Amino acid sequence: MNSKTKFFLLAIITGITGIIYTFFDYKFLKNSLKLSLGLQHNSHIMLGTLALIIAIVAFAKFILFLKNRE
Amino acid sequence: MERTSFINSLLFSFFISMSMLMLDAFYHLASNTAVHVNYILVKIVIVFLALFLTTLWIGKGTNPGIFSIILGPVIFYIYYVYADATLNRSIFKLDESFGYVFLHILVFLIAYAVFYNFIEKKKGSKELQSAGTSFILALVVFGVDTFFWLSKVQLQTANEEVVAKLMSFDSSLYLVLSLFVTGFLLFNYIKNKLLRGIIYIIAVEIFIFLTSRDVSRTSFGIVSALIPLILLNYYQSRISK
Repeated sequence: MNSKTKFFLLAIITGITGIIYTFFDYKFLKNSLKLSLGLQHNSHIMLGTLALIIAIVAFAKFILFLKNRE
Repeated sequence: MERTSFINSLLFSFFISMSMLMLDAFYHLASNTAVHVNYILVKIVIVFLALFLTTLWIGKGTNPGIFSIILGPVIFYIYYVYADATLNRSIFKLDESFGYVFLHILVFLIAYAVFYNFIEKKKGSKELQSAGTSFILALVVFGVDTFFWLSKVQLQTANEEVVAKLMSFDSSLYLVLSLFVTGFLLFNYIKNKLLRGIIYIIAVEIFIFLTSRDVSRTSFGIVSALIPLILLNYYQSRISK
């Protein structure tokens, strides 16, 4: 797997994780998705925002890979 | 854009995010907005991670700088919007309105520009470089000292509302300006690094004692001064290679 694909996959995975943990309701996370990890909601949002940062920077890196190829 | 190593990115991000946070704390103290240890920790983690990953994966420079100084405050605003309040809004004013995003971007920009131009690129005259170095160092020393102080009181009292009322604008400004002037004189006129470091640590001890009259905080002042001094010296030796 080359670096471009790695960064793209990282952006997708952390992006989805970040969206789930930041924007979804606590009850939905706990009861429906079973993804609460025994944490408080603020901790979920903290995890989510960190994942979003990783996703955005990884996506920017992916865009740079595409731009440099052209 | 320049590619940077892991350690360089780590130190670069540490100095800039810490300076940004303390500049931001000054505005909050001046405008009676709560400087709350939990929010400070959240803010530094978010800002640090945004800057660190950008520096490591994309690089340093104008474009990566603009990218990270917008990303950090915007993500922090998202945290504020979605997280539950941990301080009573009827007593404390928090920096949670949308306008504070621009303040955070501005202080981040100042910290990034000063560090990148005067410490990283060594632009300008010697006086300007010394002023930039002492500016960043004063804010980082103040930051480490503040973290120790707020964490100590938080552990002793377990009361976030007491901790949020601890800092005052006047004493903080006195401490930072004293450290800035001392640092500027030392960096500009003393070439011997060891002598400069020893004098700086003694000065930090004196200024912390004068502002706080707290023996434990003054004792920790050695660590507050030593950590940034060693890290800055290490960073400068790495970038000059």
